[in-house]
Amino acid sequence: MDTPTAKVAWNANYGVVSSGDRRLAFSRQLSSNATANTPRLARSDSSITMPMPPLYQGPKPSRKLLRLATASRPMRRLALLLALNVAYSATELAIGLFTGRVGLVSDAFHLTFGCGLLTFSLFAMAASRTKPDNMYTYGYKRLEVLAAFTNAVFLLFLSFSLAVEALHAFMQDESEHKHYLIVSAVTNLSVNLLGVWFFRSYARVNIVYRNAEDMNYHSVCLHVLADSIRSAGLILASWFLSLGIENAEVLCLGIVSVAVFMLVLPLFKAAGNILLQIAPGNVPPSAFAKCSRQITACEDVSEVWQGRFWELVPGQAVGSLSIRVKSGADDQAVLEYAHGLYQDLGIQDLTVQTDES
Amino acid sequence: MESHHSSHPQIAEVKMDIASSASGAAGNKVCRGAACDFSDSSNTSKDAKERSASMRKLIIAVILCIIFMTVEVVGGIKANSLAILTDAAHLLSDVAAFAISLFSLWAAGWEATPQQSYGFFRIEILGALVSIQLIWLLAGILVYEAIVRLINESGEVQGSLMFAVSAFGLFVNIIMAVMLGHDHGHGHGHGHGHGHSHDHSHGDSDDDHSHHEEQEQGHVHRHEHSHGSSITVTTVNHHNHPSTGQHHDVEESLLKHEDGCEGTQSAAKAAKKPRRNINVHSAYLHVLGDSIQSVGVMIGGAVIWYKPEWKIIDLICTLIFSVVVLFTTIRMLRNILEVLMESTPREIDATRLERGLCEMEGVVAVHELHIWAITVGKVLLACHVTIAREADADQILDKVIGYIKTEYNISHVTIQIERE
Repeated sequence: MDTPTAKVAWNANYGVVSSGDRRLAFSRQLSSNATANTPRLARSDSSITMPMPPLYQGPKPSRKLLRLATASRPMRRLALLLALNVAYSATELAIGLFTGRVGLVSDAFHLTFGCGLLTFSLFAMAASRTKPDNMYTYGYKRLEVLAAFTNAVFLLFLSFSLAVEALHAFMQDESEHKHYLIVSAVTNLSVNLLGVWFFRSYARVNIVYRNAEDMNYHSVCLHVLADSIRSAGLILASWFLSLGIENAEVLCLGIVSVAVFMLVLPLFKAAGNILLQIAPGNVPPSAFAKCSRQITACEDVSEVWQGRFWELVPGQAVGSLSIRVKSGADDQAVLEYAHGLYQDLGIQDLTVQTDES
Repeated sequence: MESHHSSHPQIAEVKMDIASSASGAAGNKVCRGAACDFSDSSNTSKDAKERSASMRKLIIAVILCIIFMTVEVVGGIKANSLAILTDAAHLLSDVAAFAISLFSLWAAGWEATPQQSYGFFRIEILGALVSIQLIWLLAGILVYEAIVRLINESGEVQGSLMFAVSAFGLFVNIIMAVMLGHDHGHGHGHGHGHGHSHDHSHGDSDDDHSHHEEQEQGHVHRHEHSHGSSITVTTVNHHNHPSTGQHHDVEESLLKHEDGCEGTQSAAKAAKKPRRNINVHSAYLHVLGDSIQSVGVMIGGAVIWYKPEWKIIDLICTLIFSVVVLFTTIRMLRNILEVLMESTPREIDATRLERGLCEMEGVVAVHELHIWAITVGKVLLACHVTIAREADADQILDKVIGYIKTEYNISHVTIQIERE
């Protein structure tokens, strides 16, 4: 895990972190020079300390949730967005119920699901700061990836449901397009555009993820973007209908559905891959092969096998490796060498098992 | 990574040397196969069997579902009733859930690649997660429909039709629930059974070599531990092979002689505490949720039928039953979340393990202990062990791995030995 000195981490955003400026997001990640001086086999702060293991306490964020929820700028923005959305959907639901308009109620439901998702994202942002403990030895950072994945899955559901709606409109063949929905669509659009503005640096389809928060912010941004596309589609559809264009609703809904799908797919794949324990994305496979060749080239080593690497969150890779060492050789030196090699690749958490042949 | 994957298609010869010198406490400290128990093709026979049995069940369920759905669609179009068509749409969602489960089951069997060094077992978990999210989505949709029913003051909601349709839906769902929950040993929600790894079924040919194999120790156990060279008595074992004496083999895997014993094997499998596949379980939850909601809709329909003015009861009923459905999914969701967060599986007591390790002689300290699961049955462990300067690293490594394997049944272990 992070040794104390490694906390002074190399800043992936080159010091412009507060503005969230990600124009440099595609630059190559340098090898972690900042960690070059750390002892390779540092006895790090294990979460399971002996002889008195800490009592397992569940994640604490619920107690200080409000304080945490405003802890960082993106979180504050998300909290604001969430509050706006909740207020808006509550009013829409109330109005829909009182006036008996189904369209408003269905829109309110869409929004409620969205609010639920955003709440989960916010919770993930807050909870991921919790220190690793007995049960969660790797910490809580994965929550962010999970929140991103959940967002992506629901956005995919949204795109399917829009496609179903388009089909429905196609089969019904009458424009039961209710004009009072325009007001709600415009309001929805403006709220969501505000959200896109807040997270504007993440408003792209393919992003290089440097750390766990990136994925979460990206998913939130895509969520509000998809919602705004949907509202824009509805507005456009009713405008076309008023112009007398046939099948405008079908067309617009279809385009929106396809657009949302294409928007979300890369995030879905990336988040899914991390959850599937894929090998670290920023390290090319040839680099792993090269490392293992270098280790095998040592005189003391007879073979290397079972190298498994995976990413806990983007930017933090974990691995395990087995080395067979010739008998009588100094295994500690081999250990240090192996650790050094992999640290250059950016893999800090490595467990190396040395067997003597 | 490609290099050493390709150089280890056959690991058997490496094992020979070690077997003779090992203390016998653990058998091998090395795993068989380059990708070990996770994606070695020979060991997936047990996995594959479980998987194909589950797939068979799901396919039957899908076919049944589709049949019923077409019946409902035809009936709905003929009767021109929206209610029946809506119910057909719910059955369609069932089919979607089954499709997700089937896909996850099939995909989990893919061979590991250098990019996915642990294999694709996680896909099961992700598929189950998507399935559960679908359940939540559908519960929300149902509540929405109830609200719409409430708003539609036009009174075209016929209680009798609602009742009949949902009764039919309930009947269908119950049939499928029975079929999916077939080997329902005791209580559901035990996605994670014992937390031991089922992956050591070795192909028949390997058993002929007289070397230590990594048997699943205590595989059918409750509390039996096999230490050293003793022979484990398993609670359910239809063939206790007497020849184990000379091998030091600790326990014969039930699957050792798969060639001949299909029948007894499946009986044995059913006799022990059945660990239902997580995807079948999530499909079962889906169907269960649907039946619960059908009951709710039936009650609402009956109320509307009886007293059309009390429409609000329909909504309340739906809300209550939706909440019930969400509660049934909570336990599975918690399991899934724990696996995805790489947390220590519940059935393993990490502190006791660490204490046990520290008590071994030669071991000074243990740190960076990580225990996590790939999927509900397969657990891995990695830690750093600091030993005294003059201790014998190899011997301690053996002891540690043996201890972990016998006590906790974690077979995939990576231990880094450091000297003070």
